Amino acid sequence: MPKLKTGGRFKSAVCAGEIMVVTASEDDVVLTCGGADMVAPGTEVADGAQVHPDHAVGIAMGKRYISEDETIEVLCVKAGDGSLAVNGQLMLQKDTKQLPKTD
Amino acid sequence: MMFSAENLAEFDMAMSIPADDLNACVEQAVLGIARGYPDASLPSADWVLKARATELGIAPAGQWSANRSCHLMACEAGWLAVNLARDSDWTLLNAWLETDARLTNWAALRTVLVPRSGRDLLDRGREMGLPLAFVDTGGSDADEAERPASMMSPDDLNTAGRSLRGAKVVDLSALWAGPLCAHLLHRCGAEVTSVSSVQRPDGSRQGNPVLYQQLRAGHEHLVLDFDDPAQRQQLARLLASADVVIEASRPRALRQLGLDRESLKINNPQIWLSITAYGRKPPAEQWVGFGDDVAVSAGLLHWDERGHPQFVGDAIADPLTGVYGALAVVESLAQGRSGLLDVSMASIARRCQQKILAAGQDIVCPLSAATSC
Repeated sequence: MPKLKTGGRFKSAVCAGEIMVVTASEDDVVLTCGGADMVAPGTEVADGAQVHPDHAVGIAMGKRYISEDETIEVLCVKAGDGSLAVNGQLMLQKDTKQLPKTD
Repeated sequence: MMFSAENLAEFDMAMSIPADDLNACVEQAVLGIARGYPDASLPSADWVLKARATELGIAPAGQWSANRSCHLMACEAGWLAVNLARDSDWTLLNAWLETDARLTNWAALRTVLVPRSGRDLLDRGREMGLPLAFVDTGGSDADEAERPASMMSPDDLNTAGRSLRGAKVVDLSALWAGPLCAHLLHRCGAEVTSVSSVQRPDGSRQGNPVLYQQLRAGHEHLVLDFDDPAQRQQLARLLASADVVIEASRPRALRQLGLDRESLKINNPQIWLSITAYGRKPPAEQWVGFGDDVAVSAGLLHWDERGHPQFVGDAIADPLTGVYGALAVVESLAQGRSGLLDVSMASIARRCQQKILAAGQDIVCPLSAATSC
């Protein structure tokens, strides 16, 4: 898959999920959603591909997800049924955003 | 079927008549409320607009909002208002602007924005959940121009006119607009329960503790753990039995908790006041907005002699929405209506801007000159 770049967008090949990269890492990594490599937004994906049952918790719009070693962080901009993983390791959802002290 | 605000006569009148300034905008709403509740002790327009600025000793300064979290910056074809009210917003800037430059202060951010297209950045940032607004100086009008100030989708539960005296109000909102609305309903005789969540405490409790307490004086308080199914159930029952619900969240938030109107299957006459930044229709239902940036998007700004936009008031869309939201509830109840009252801060701010322009006046900051407005 293409190298992760800050601000880069990817979509899932197996569900509706889409993300934006918030923090990228220098290393080559494989970012998957629903167990399948994520692809650039315009890419055609095969019909009928399915979310892997071990990667099926889903991602929620507006939530941020971080890799276990905390080097990669992404923002979900479109919800999907697949879960995100970096090099096969599931990403973790960050805590809910707090409300500001003054708006 | 959606009914426009024209069916809420008092509300629509207050929203349509010209007003010389922002104080007059607030006075007109308060007068509309007082017509139904002549004995209620209602606050002055000064208090409504200035309570927080006075407590914190703040005022806007040019392109800086009163609380300094929102900043208007020049960009291609206009001005972008960026409200970084939460620390977590700063950590999204690199992804938003697709740059690895160090963006740890406003000066660095300003430099990056100048050559960029404000319209593109607005769309991309909104999708990311950043509170942004764009003022197009190229002449195209603000997004909110044609929207009515409130939309009511009535249930088939219309009754004779109802009063706020002894009515049960449940307020799920935080910050300023929703709690101000609840406060006004309380002053008209409603029994208000303010609900807050363990997961997402209201930052304004620390941010402006005096106003926070004033807005909730005389309310019952309920702190609930929204992750606990039993407590969610308790809240569901409370919401179902309320005469008025006030909430100021994006539609998806309550939907995910199963606490939206559809899931609750409300079968009593109830007004559900939904306060959003930009309304409940896609895609605007997803956009985040706070009082200062929403006011910018509505064109509620002062233009200085150099042609630069300046903030007016303190989170001005908040207090305006609080008073007009309360008027909309008062009017809906008086007419025996039930259902969803969809009030966006952007539409209220826009209508107030139009009221002042209709009076032939410039929009000026309501905070006194002594506070360097």
